[in-house]
Amino acid sequence: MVWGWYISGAAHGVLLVILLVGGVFARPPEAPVSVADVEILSEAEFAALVLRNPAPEVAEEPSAPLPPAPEEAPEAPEPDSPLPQITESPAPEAEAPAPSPEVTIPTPTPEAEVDDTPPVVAAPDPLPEGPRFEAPPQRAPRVAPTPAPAPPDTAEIAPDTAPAIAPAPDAPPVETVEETPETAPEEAAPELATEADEPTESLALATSPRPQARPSRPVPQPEAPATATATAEPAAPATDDAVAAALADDTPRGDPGPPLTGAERDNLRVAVRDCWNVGSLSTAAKETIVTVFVALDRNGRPDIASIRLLGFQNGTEATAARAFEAARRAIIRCGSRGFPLPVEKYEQWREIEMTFNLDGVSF
Amino acid sequence: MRLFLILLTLLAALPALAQTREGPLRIEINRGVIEPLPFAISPFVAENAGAAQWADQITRVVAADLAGTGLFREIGGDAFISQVSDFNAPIRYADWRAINAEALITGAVRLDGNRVTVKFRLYDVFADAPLGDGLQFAGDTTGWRRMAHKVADQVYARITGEGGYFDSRVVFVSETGPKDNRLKRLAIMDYDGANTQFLTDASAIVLAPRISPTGDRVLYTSYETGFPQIFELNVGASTRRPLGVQGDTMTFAPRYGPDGRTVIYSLTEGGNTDIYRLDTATGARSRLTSAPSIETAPSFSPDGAQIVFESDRSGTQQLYIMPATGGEPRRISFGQGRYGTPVWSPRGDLIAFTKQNQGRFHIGVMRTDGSDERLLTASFLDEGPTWSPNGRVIMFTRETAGEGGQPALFSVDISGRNLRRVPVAGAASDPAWSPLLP
Repeated sequence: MVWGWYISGAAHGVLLVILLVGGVFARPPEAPVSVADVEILSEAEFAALVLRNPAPEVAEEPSAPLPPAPEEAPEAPEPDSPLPQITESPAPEAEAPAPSPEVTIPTPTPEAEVDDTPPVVAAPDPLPEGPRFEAPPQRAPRVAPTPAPAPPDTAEIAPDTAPAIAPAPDAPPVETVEETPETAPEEAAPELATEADEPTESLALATSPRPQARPSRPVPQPEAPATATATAEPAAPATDDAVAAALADDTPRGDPGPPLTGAERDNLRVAVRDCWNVGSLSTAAKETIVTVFVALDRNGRPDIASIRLLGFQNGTEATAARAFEAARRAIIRCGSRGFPLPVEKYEQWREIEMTFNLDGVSF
Repeated sequence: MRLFLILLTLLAALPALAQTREGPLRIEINRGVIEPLPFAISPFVAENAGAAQWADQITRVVAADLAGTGLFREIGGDAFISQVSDFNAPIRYADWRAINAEALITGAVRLDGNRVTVKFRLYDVFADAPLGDGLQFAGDTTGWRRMAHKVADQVYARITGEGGYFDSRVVFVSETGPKDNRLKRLAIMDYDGANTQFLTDASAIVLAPRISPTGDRVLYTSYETGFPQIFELNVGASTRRPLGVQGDTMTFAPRYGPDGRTVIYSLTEGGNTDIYRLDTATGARSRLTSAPSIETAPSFSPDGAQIVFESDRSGTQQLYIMPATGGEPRRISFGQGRYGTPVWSPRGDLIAFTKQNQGRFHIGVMRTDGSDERLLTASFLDEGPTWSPNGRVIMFTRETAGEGGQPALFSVDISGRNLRRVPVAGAASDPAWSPLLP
């Protein structure tokens, strides 16, 4: 028991010594103070300094656009030719009910002179309008209303056909190496991707499994009429094939998945509006609300051929056409790299109706 | 209670029903960007040896017209990937898309003797398609600038959806000499300041020219008799005649009606200024106002049914509208300051005016009922607005302060953007914009 007191007393003593000697309560060394020379200003000197840089005034009126830099106004040119005389015509007789005093034409004061050449520029011969151009006085080649079709971006020349050579029956099999056509180099990325950046294979599922859609009820296939094969049909045009392909695409699409979230819709909205340039539209075209249909591929890129005007409000066909052109440019420009849309919800956004409506635009 | 619960359940299920809707996704875009539309103009092809000079000049005027509106931005030729050396060659849209050109203009010029033929096409690059049909203009070499303006007008109209204003002229007062002894004479020029020609000499002070709807006559006020008097100048025939003369009265501030035959103006008699209407064909005159205040600066509405004018009948200078045959006027300006020189827009939807408030002058626009007033400019002295033929641009006089202050012509878009000085040689004031030339 006594030993316990001794040990406790010794420990406390050691602790007190450490606290007193170890400098725990010592004042921390003061940081060096930097000293700078100052100059004392009088009140008058201070006022003079402040007045030299007055505070900007707050404009009460709406700030006007800055005028262009003042230019040195050149002297007015002298007329090239002596000014011809102006002939005076009598003033029209007044038929006012009140008796008007005599109309006195001022005495011909120094006769005004005008330029020799008539100021109205001689208009070119009847200017043709639109495609229904009137023939100009001298025959000029008519402008074809539509230009030549653009060449395809990537045109391949078909190799000359060569007669097929039948291999010898006992010839050894020849290994054929499939040649891949040269393609454009991949687009450069803004960042270097090293091996460490390459994603490792993950065993996790890319998407959560979803229940399969209910299988569609089998549709009884109508029997082809026996005469269909017997009669030789003329070759269907390519457009028929395209229509058939389009109809074939109308197969059940399965579960469209969850709808787009508000944030995903906003992303799309922002992506389109960043390219919707209305600066060059007339006031009437800006006020025209147009609804545009567009089909997208899985990468979010618009199918240009699918873009069409569904309808418009608050305008004429002409203003709707201009508004539609601006909307189409917005979709194509900002969709060229694909709109930011979740690919797992492709069925939700493969077809979009965009309504372009400038709210609150005045003149 | 049960019915209420059923309705509540249905309401709660509505969002789920909406989510499972069929058909395309529907979104609404409510905001866009306002930027100049980038366009490329390929140097017009000279189809024969003599046309090279004209092709180059016409190309530059078309590009300047479009870029000068502030609605378009020209992409320099240095950026071009491909060149158009044949007017009829197919367009490689990908090359123009790559430089972000949204519109492409191609053209060709041919010179046959003294006759120039200009043809052009406009393409929507991102739609891979032409915008409208090809067009051509033919005329004398002296009218090459007009043909260039007409090409630009067509391009402007096809892209914006409203008519252009490049093939038009402006009558103005050309000024020379010091501020206290200024010599003034009437002049006419292209809208862009080119081709200036004088209509009168500097023997008398002339003011406020107004051009007729047909563009062949000009009304103006002259001080050649010592007091203001209205004259009508026939531009083509170089003849003139006084209008509205009535004894020892002063007549000023004339303006044509939309029919080109009716003129409204101010007449001061016995210290009182009122507005009169004159049929220039018959000389029939009628008084439209009879208030003891000053009524002046009348301007017809495009349909000729109404007249906007300024009056101080309320104690300060304000804007009023009355029927074209006279009648009780209706005040439309109620803001602070003084309003004057109202001009009705060719489209009929806006009225431009000069406003003086707190020592500064402004050019502004408001709707015809006085709403949506917007001030477009602010300076020491801005006054005398005139509308472009399509109602999109306003030209006006801006005078700088001080003894050396000079008036100059400026233009501004009705949105308040694209304030520019019109490159007129010498000092200039009082512009009057003509309609589009035929």
